[in-house]
Amino acid sequence: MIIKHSVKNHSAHKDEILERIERFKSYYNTKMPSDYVRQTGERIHLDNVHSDLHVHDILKPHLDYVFTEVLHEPMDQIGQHLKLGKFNDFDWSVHNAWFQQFLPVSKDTPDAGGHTWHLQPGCQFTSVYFVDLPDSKYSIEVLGLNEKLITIDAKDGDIITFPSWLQHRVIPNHGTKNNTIIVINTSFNLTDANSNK
Amino acid sequence: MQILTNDFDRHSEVKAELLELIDSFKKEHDTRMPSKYVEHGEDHPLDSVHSDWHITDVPRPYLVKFFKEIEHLILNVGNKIHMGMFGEFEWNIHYAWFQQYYDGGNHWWHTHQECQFTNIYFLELPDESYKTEIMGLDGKKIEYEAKEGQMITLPSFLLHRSKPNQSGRKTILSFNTSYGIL
Repeated sequence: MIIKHSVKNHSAHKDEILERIERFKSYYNTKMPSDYVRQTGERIHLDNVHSDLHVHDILKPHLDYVFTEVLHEPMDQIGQHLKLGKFNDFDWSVHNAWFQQFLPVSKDTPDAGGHTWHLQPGCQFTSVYFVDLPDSKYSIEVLGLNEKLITIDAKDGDIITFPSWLQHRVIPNHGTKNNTIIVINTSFNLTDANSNK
Repeated sequence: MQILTNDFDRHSEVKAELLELIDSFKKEHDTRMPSKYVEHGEDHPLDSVHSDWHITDVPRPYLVKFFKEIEHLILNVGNKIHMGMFGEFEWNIHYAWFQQYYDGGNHWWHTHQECQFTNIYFLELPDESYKTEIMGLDGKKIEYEAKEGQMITLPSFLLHRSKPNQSGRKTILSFNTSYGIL
């Protein structure tokens, strides 16, 4: 089950989100430790992946913007897909969200930025917003339960949502420009259902 | 993936002990489940659903016993959904509870949040037609077979319910899980 949503007015959102991310990067060390994205066992800060996932307890204006300006429509689409509207209103909640920026090979970054196969525990769904995807070849891969790749065909401005228990990875960026995504982990329930946590 | 069913091969050996431990817990705590947790609209009789879900921070010996017994089933589910494809995997239980349905007791359609999977062990299921009903993404009920002593696993986002019980006491142990790659 893969749900694709094309964000309206993406180009305007994109400029604002990228600007906010750049500002954030100028204040904090966003170089991502290797244990987040590689199975190396050794924790080193990578030059080729930037993120705010490891930066805690501070305001993240790029996420505030996505939550208020972008997220409501795709979340509504997912809830309808789950047939939650069949009974009554439904709610959704965000458990965690972060940006990730994968740098291409350059003099300063000899390795292409990527993120090896992983899952997202503690949520029903993972959504990936392709804020800046210059080359669709370097988006994400999602593996089905038959161990075959699920065709994604994501492009700049798409939000791809899939069950959090499907293994996925970000393809190493062998393009020439940065890839920037925002990842959002969510759960859904009927508004008046008192869910068992 | 829709529904995975696993047999718990020691069900007949541990059923009585688990029910006895639940009964002991019920004597010490008010396990009558407030209708706001399970009903939609009309209240059900307070006595028709018992659970420990609304009781926090107390020991639950039946869960300790249960998880010792069924750890291999959680691993089995992980293997069935190919978690070991790229190496070792880990699993996590987020929350667990019992629910016991008497005459008329029911639980309205709902999902489970903050987890990947919902698991339901049918500890006491006198009539299989009263097993958990699960709705597919086509809006229709998913047909599946399950009986007492089996555990089902479903994606936590699927709507499911326990319809009003008229089968004699039904008891389930339910728990939420997630998997991750080590």
